[in-house]
Amino acid sequence: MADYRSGTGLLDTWANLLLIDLQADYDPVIWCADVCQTAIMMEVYLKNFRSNGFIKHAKVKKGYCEYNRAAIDEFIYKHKTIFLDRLKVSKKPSGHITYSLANATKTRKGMDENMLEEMQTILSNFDNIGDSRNFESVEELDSKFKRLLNCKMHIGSETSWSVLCTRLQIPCMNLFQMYPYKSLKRVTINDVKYNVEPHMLIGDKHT
Amino acid sequence: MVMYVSNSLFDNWRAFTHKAKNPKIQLHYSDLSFSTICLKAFNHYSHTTVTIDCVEYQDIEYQQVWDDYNYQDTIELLKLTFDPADHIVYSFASNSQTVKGMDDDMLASTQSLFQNYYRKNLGDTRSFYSADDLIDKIEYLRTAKAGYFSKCSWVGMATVFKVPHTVLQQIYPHRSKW
Repeated sequence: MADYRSGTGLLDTWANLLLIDLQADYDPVIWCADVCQTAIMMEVYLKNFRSNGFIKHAKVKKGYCEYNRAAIDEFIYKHKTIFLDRLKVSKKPSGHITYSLANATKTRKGMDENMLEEMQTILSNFDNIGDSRNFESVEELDSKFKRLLNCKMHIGSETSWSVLCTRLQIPCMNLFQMYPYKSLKRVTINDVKYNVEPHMLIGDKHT
Repeated sequence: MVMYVSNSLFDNWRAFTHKAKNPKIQLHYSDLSFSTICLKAFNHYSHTTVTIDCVEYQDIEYQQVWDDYNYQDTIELLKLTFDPADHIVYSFASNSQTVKGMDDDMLASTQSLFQNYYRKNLGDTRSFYSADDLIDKIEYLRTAKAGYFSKCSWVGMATVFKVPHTVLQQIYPHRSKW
């Protein structure tokens, strides 16, 4: 039995679900802050990605465990097509553009209110798939995921959506506000936390 | 101290800032005619007047223009006035011209998002017809309510003119370098 963490962000949760399958864990326990959110993310994952059955047996518990970064990096992030290879729904790109803009009050990678308003005006004719966390229902997340999967391109703040684009081979553009607010990302290197520019390359890893 | 100045607009402005602070610095230019255009624009906005050393690149070890550079050094030299208009400015680069640019499909899609009458494309930062052409573009930038750019000299220029701005970086299928 191993412990897995489901964070509030979609990508971390889906990466941990995939890890359960890859490690063929018969008795996984998923620790999370919000059991309902994890249940929504699990159900949508299982609707859209092939699983060898281990995820269905996972126990979901409220609580915290360390994020298993080494295993996630080794088994998942090193393999660029791992999500695409497990996709069980078809990808039919249409002509629409999706976007998702984060607010700096919620994440350091976001943008300030004025920039957010300006970007929303520019992108107003396109499909806003919104936040990549805090989903109200399975239907909401499933619809947003399918719109992303089938878009012509995605544009927005660096979120789970944009990282999923790189894994699902969807053309994608990230936005980083530079002034007056400066988008930042918090990274941990050798247990020390740093605020760095989100696009910074550390070693061979894009932060 | 000798600095090499590339044919990048903001490298030139950084170099002129160093020169304004320390007139003993020698500047050697990659492209003297381009740097002359940049200098005329710099002097147009600066409290001080920098003169150009007519020296081109030599095979020697140079100090880099971004060493010990701080945006605030340039800001302190500029006659900054705030008269924002209602337009936005943008400039996106192709990856056929710079590693910081985007591929053709992304460039076409992104340009189409931004094109309309109150949005001004500032274009390339490495080719200007004249100092007046550059000053016209800087005026559009200076008075803009926001700017959107690939990682290029307009980012540095927007910072010194305190224009809110955002950088666009393609991450798939091409990955723009920062």
